[in-house]
Amino acid sequence: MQNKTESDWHFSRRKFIKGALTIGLMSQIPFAVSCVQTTELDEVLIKIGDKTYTIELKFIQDVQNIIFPEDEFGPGASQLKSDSYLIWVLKDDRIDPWDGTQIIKGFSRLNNRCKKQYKKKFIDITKAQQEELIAQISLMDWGQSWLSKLLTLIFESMFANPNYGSNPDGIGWKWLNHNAGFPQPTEQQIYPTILNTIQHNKKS
Amino acid sequence: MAKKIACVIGSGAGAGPIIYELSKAGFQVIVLEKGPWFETKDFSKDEIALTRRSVVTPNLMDEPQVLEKKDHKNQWVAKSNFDTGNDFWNGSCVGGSSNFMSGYFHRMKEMDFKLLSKYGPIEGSNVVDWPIDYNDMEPYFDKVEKIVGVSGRLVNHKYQEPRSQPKFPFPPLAENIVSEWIDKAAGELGYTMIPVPRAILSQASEKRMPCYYSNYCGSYGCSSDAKGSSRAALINIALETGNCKVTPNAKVFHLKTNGKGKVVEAHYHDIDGGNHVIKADIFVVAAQAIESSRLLLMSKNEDFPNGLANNNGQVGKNLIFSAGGIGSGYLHYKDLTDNDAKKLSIPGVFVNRGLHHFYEIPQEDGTMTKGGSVDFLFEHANPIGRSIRRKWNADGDLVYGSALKKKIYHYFNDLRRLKFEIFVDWQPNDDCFVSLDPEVKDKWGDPVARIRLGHHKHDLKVGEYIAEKCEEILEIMGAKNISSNINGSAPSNLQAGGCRFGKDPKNSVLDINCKAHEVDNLYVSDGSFMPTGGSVTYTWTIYANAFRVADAIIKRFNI
Repeated sequence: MQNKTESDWHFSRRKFIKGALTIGLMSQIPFAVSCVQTTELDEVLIKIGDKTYTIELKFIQDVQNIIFPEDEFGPGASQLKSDSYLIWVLKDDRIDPWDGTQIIKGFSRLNNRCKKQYKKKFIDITKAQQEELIAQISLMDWGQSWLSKLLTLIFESMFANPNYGSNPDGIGWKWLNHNAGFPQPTEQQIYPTILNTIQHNKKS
Repeated sequence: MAKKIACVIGSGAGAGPIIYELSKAGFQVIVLEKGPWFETKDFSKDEIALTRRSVVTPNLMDEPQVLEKKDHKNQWVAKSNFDTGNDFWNGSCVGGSSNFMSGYFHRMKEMDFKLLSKYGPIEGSNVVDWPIDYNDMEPYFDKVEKIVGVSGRLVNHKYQEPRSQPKFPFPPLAENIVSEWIDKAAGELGYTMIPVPRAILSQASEKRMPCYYSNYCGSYGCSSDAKGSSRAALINIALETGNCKVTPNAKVFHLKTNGKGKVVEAHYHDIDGGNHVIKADIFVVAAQAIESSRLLLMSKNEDFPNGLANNNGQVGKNLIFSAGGIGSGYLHYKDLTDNDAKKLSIPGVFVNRGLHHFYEIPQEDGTMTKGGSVDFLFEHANPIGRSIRRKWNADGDLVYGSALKKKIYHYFNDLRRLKFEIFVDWQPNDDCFVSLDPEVKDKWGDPVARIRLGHHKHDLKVGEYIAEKCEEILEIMGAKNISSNINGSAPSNLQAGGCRFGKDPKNSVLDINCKAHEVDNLYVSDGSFMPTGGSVTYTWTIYANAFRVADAIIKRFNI
C-alpha cells in the first residue's frame, strides 16, 4: 500500500500542544556521551510542559531491535545507533512537540499493556514475549502508527551521514551497496547546525 | 540622471531574470528574499537536511499554510499543513526553488497559448487564451537556453516547437542504457521519444562547472552550479555589476501605496523581529504563485480595500498546478544479461526521455482535445524515502523485523524502478484559489495563505489516457508490477496562476507586460501571470516570461 505516507502519523492530531520539549539523562552525564555509552541503567527524562516522562534506554533498544534486528540480512538498530538517534530527534525543539509526545506515549502504552498481560515491565519479559506483544500492537491502529514512526526514524539513522552520530562508518550504506552522493555534509552543515550558520548570513 | 530603483520581492525563477537584466541595464536593484542565503559551498547531499527537515523551507510551526480539500462527503475542509504535513513551500532561500529543481525544460507549444480558441470551452473550466502567442515568447525561450543554460539534443517529432536556433547551446547529458530501451519500446508502438532538454550544463560555462552526475539532483542544491538556478545563473552575475543588493531573511508583508495608484514602499520583517522599509520606483513581486497572491491580498488600504490590485476581485483566483500523475514499473536485474544489469545499475547518469506524442488526443467526433507530455526517469536515489515505502505490504499491513530487512535489501540490490510523470493542463476553475486565512497567523502575526485545491475531472480523463499508453511502453520493456496513479492532487512544486495576465482588467490582474492593471509601478513576474500552464513543467516558461517582463520594464523606464 504505497499511498500510506507519513501523513498517517498526523491523522488523529487535533491541536497544537505548546510546550518546551527538553530531554536529559538522570545520570547527569553529557547527553551525547550518554547516548553513545548507553547501559541498561540509563534512563531518559523527557519534559513536555510541566509533565516529565521517564523511559529506560533498554526499553527503546529492545523495541528497536525487534522491529529492526541484527540478522543474516544485515546490521540492526543497535549497530546503527538508532537509539541515540531517536533521543536526538526527541530533543529537537524544532520538530512538532506533538510528534515527540506521541512517541513517548507509545512506549507508555506498550508498557501498560505488558504489565496487564504479564504483570511485568516490557524490559523484564522474555524476548519471545516481547515479540508477541509487538506483533499484537502492530495490528492495532495506534500500534501500527507508532511502530511505523519508529521505523522511519530507524531508516533516518541508517542513512544519515555519520556526523549525525548514527550509521557509524556508513554501515547502513555499505549494507545496501548504496551510493550516498557527494559532497557529504560536514559537521557544520548537518541539521540543525546549518540553520544557525545560514540564517545569520546577511551579506549583500 | 539618478538610477531608477527597482525592489524585487523574491529571488527564484520569476525574479532572477529581472534582477539580472535590470542590474546590467544600470538600475539599482534591491532584492528582498524571505529565506536565507545558501551559497554553492553550503550544499551537500544530506537527505536529512534537504528532505526530512525544514532547512530550505520554513518550519511549518512558524509559517503554516491552510489547505482546503474535499472530504469523503464532498465538503470542503480546511486544515493547517502544520497538522497534516502537506507542505506547499518550495525552496525559501536566495534563488528559491530553482536551486532544487530537476530542470526538466520543455517549451510550451503554439497551441498552449490558445486553448480556448483551438479546443473550445470546457464546462466548469475558466480556460482562456493567452494575450500573447508563441512567437512573442520564442526569443525569450531562446534567451533562457543561452543564459540559464539548457542541454539537449533535438529530434524531429510532430509537436516540435518552431525554433530560432537549430540546436541547444549545450550537448546532452550522459544517459543510462535504459534510455535506448525506452526508445526501442516506444518505437515499436509508433511513438518518437524525445531527449529531454535539461537546465543542467553538460559543459563548463563561465564560472559554472558541468554536471558531475552526483545521483542527487532534484530536491538538492547543485555543488557544481551546473544546474541553472536563478542564484547560480543569474543573481551571481547581477551582483558583479555592483548594482544589485540582496537582503536575505527579509519577509515582505506590506506594499504601501501613495493614494495615486503607485507603490512607494515595501515593508518587511527580519528574523530578529524588526521591521524595515524600502522605497523604490518600481516594485516587482515574484514570491511564487501562492505567496505573491498572499502579499497582494495582505496589502490593503483605502484605495485597495480588498488587497493591492484587487479592486476587481481577481487576485488569488484561477490558481493552477500541473495536473496528471505518475506511473512506474520495475526492471529486475535477473531478467537481464549481466552486462545490461550492470549498466542499468549505474547511478548518476540520466534517463532523459520525454514523450510528446499525446500532446493532442483525437476524439470520437474527429476533433482533437488537448493532451499532455510525459517524462521518464528513475526513482530518486533518496534511500530513506525508498525504505519508507517498503514498510507496507500489498494489504496495507505494517512489515517489520527481518521480513522488512529482506524486502529492503532486495529493493536496493535486485531491481530498479523506472517511473513516468505525466503533465496535463490543470483546468483553471472557481474552486482553486488563494485567500487569506481568517484565523491562522504566521510567526510574525500575519495571516497565512489559505489555498483551495479543486481540480476539474477533465484533467483526470486526459491523464488516464496517457498513463495507459505509457504502461504499454513499460510492458514492452519487460518491466514488472506496472502501475499508475492519476488523481486530482495538486503537486505543490508546480504552482502558477492567481494573478492572471490579460487585456481586460475585469478578469485579469496583470496587463500584457505583467504590470498590474490598477497599479502604475507594480509588476508580478513569477508564474502567477499564467492563465493556463501548458502540458509541461513551468520553470522554463517562468524564466522566459520574466526576461520578457524585464525588457518591458527597461524599455518603459529607459535610463
